[in-house]
Amino acid sequence: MERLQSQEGLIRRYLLGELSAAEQIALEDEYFSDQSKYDQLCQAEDELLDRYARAALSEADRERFERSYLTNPRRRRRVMFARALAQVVDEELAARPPAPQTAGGEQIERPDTGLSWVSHLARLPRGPHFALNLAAALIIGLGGAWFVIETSRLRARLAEALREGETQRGRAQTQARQVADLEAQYRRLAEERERLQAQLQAVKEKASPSYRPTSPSILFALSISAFRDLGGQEPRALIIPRGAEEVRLRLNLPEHEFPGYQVILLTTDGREMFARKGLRPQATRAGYGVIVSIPARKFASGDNVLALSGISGAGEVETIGKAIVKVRRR
Amino acid sequence: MTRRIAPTSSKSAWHRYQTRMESAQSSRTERELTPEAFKKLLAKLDPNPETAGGKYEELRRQLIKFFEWRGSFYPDELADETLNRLARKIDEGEEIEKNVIALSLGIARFVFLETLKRPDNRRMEMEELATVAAPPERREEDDDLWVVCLRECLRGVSDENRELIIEYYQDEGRARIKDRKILAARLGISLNALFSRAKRTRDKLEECVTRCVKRKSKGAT
Repeated sequence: MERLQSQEGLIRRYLLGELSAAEQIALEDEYFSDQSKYDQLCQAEDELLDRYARAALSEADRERFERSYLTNPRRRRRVMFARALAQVVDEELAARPPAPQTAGGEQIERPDTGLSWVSHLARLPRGPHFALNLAAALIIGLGGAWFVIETSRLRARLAEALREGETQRGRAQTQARQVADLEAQYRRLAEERERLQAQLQAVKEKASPSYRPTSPSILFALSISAFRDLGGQEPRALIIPRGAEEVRLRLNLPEHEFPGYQVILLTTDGREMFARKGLRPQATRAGYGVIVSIPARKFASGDNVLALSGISGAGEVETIGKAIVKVRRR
Repeated sequence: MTRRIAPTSSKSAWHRYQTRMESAQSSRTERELTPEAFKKLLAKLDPNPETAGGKYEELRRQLIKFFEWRGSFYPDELADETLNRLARKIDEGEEIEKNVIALSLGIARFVFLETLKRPDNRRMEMEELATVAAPPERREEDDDLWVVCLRECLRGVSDENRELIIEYYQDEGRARIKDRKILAARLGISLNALFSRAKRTRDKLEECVTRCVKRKSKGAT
């Protein structure tokens, strides 16, 4: 059971593009050689799509899903299809009349009526005793008939109520899905609004003549050429003012060579002071850039070494170069 | 290794080959794939030409999925490029140490790595794009179009398959699993067989709906 769950987790992470290169390769080897594994992956993908379409994924899963699926046009089309499928399936089921059934599922027994009953009565013996019996039989018969009719009426009402309940359930399901959809949309819009408000606030503050940076961080930009030609360039000067807590290092990349980068801060004798891996480049007007925040206290006064490496899609690390940064504090 | 092969004639594989050759007259690599090379690839997949056609289609489907799961934008093209290279390797008499399927996976990985270096393939995570691009807006009319097309395409499938799709994809979570067990028992087939049937129908519907949406969107503009 545990193994099954870990397998499902592995497949889900693969579909969301979260496996390490080695895990990814192992799983691909497996599903190319085992058809049932491949089917399992296809099934898991459909389930993931359907759960997203029905707004049944957790918040975290939804975000991961959107990051890996909504960025790809082909996958976006698959999401649209899954949404349409969920809607049509729900509507089809809601529109269906419920299967005919009574409370117990059994047929209602009706009394034998008509000529055969009258002729049967005609054959009965006569006399005062007979009259009494006949009266009693009539009372019982009428009572029985009333009972049967009443039962039948109640069963019909029950069946109707069940049908109504079924329709209501279908409607409630559709409404619940719509509400969940709207809620998800509302959450996204609220997040978007908050983000935009924050951006607007930042722009306003920067535009204001009385603006003074309140964050105890400083920005330090380096181009990739600083790393590629260590011997031929002067060390870059970095002045860290008193009170500054972090250095926001911005690396300008003219080309998007690698899907990821890593930056390591070293002392001149090679001691690692700080490392940040898995940095993704962001598009800028001048090309691409990577921003990494390094605590100011990690920098030694004097010379520091920054090592920059690229990480390929397969997870291989390729050294780009090193740059010397001369730090002065004041 | 077990591979389930749909009873597809090799004609469809050859038809796909011819279509590709016709539509790629300007591509040097496509022209290099000769009918002889393609024939050798089919023979390598299976000595029986009928079965080989089915295996080719199955391998192509799997390669498309491989590229799709790796996040490629054009998985069909990359799958075809992989099969071209595979056919050429076989035609050139390259020694195949493992089996053809394993070799195709190796080539596919190489093709994928090549695409990462292409300038038109620069991509990044959504969260990093957030400051320059908002997530695509979900428009109601888009949803409607997909629903209209799905209803249209559903009319084209048999009553039995239509019923299967409705029942198989109802609810979600535990309720869905339970419903599927009941459905499989009613049809007298295993859960795996039920999945295969539903999946085949779903894939056909998805193809049909995607075509329909494209057609209708073009008509609307």
